[in-house]
Amino acid sequence: MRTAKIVNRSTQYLFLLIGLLLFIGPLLWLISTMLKTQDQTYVFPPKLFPHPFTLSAFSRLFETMTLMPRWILNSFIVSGINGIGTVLSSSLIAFGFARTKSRMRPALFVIVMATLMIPSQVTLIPMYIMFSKIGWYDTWLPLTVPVLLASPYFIFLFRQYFLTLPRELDEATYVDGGGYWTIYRKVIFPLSGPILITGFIFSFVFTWTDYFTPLIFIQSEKLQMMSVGLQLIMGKNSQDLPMMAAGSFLALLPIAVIYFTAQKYFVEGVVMSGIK
Amino acid sequence: MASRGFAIRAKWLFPLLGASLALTACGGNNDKGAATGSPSAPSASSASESAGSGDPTSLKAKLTFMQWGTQEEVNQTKELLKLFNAKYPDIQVDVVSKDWETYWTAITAQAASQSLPDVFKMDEAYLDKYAKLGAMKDLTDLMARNSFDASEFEPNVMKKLQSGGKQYALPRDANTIVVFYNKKLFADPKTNPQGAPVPTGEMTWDQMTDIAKKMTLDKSGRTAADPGFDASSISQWGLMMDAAGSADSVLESQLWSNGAKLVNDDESFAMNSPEALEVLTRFRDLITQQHVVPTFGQAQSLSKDPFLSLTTGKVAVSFGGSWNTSEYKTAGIDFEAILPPKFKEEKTVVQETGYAIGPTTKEEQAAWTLVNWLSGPEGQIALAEQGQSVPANKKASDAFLAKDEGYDKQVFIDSQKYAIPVPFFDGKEKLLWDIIPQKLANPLSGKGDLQKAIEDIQKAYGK
Repeated sequence: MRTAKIVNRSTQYLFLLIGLLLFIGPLLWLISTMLKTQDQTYVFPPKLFPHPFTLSAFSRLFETMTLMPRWILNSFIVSGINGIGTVLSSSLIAFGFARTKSRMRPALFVIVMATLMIPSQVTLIPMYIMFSKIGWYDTWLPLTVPVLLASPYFIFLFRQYFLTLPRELDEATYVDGGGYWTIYRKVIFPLSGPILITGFIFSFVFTWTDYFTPLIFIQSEKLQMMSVGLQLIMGKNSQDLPMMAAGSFLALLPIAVIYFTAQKYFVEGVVMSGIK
Repeated sequence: MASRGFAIRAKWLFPLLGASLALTACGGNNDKGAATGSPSAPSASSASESAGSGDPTSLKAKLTFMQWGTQEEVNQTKELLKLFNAKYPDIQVDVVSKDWETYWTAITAQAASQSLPDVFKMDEAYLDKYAKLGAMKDLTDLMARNSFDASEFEPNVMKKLQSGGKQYALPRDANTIVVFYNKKLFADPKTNPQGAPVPTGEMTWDQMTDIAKKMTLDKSGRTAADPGFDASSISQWGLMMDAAGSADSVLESQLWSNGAKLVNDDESFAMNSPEALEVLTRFRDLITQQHVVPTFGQAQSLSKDPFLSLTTGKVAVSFGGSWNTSEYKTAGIDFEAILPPKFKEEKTVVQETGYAIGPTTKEEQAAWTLVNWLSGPEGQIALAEQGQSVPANKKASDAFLAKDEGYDKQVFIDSQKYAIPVPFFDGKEKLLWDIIPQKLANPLSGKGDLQKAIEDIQKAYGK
């Protein structure tokens, strides 16, 4: 019995280890490249451990790309706006779909969900023309406003969660004289912490890693996002791999920090009933 | 019941409106905060009055200049613009940069919405395509009106930026494809046990093959010219050439060198000639018979960009572009540049870029002044002094050569003379960058029939 358990455990760990290597491999390679000098990246066959260690890639990064700190800040601001905006706007609409009574509700929900099926590439050129006609080209508005107007993905995510919260809470609020707004603000919103934080993180990361939207809509370098700025390290015919790795590492860092700090909310994704 | 429902709904609508207004305002504020000092929309940026008449140095305007490339290249452009502003202090130029791949997506989108920048960089490969889309101003009139001196350029250099006989861009740089060799590998008896001589320019392919054989080593140190050479364990390659992947930079000029062509003047396919097959057979044999050139897979494992394989120190001789020299230096390679080997006649490739003017610019005179300065002697000499690009203007070649960088830069200038006079046209970039690399890589590495590959390429090309 005991040996069976040990064998079982070891196979589990073996698979976990393989998985770990698979996922951490590229990350290790990134860190190794970022600590190399440029000529070390040309060495064939390539070596994992840089010798000597150097942080020169970072100083090169900030020397040639004087606007890098600004791009990082821009990305933080826009991702933050989108993260918070998504939570507020999509949760409101999700609340409407989950809790209000209207004959139009199922049909509206189908329409909202159907927009998930439209690939963004299809709407790109009309959006581009529209935004440039109303003078939004080269501002942050095309990056934030569409997100602030709620997105079907998050509406669905939040609605499904809200549906699991017991209706008795709503009824109790009615009895105490509260309306929809009180239910949303005082009951549903506070009880939905895990899913709202998940929504915030998703929206933050979507915006942080979004390359295409800023590329198309932002022209001034001062307004640019980090994702597009990073691309300026890679030339048509030239490559500075350590600098590229250093930039990618900086881009990865906030996402990693957010994931680690919010990890417990993912685990807490179990529904809190609110009723004992 | 119904009225109560409505009352409730109306009540929670107010905060909703309030919240969304606050959010929009917040977004707007941030936007304004970040935009300080850089007015945003391009239409607004060019809305300033131009002095127009008389002295061009008093022209007042705000221009947007778009280019592809790295931040370093942006910084270099800004240096050029500083010199430009010394002469034209009232023409302010904002530089916008995108990477090579997405640059063309942006140009397409901006052409569709008529918001192209006032001045932008154009590659010869896409000139015809975007000229047909109406994405560039026809400069022929402007050139005549401002008495532009076309004799400062080789006629071929000007011609490459024309479409339908009209000039759509003025030349910026004319980068060339040459051959580089690693001096250290030739000097060291360990890496050159047979004492092969260093290659020289305009060699025949027989001479080149001899040298490459002596410079290809297996793990036990035998060369490809020795009996008992083990082709399965090669540790140093005599020659790097990816004729399929480098169809534009290597294959086409080598076809011309043997009297063949890739496409005819009427854009029809021309690689189905015996001379072309001779070139391809020779290149295949270098890989499969003489074992002096790596197969496609072997080349990829050395370096994704074959032109950069010299940086590994495992390649003796390699085709490369004039732009690769800074990477070779970074990698600590001591190299020399020579003209490529030939079949019958010496032929090379010049890859050109130019400056185009957006068709909807409101600042035509200022845009022309900028383009004219950048292509003219002053801008070109400044470009030459930066040392990154081979200037297109003949008046700048002395400045380019003046900066000694330890290898023969004259080769880059000389090779412009041997450049094949092949204009790009819409559809040719697909043939060179997609079809040939896909269909020819395996047959050249000995997997598949060459004649059949040529037929496949023709079928995919469709002309």
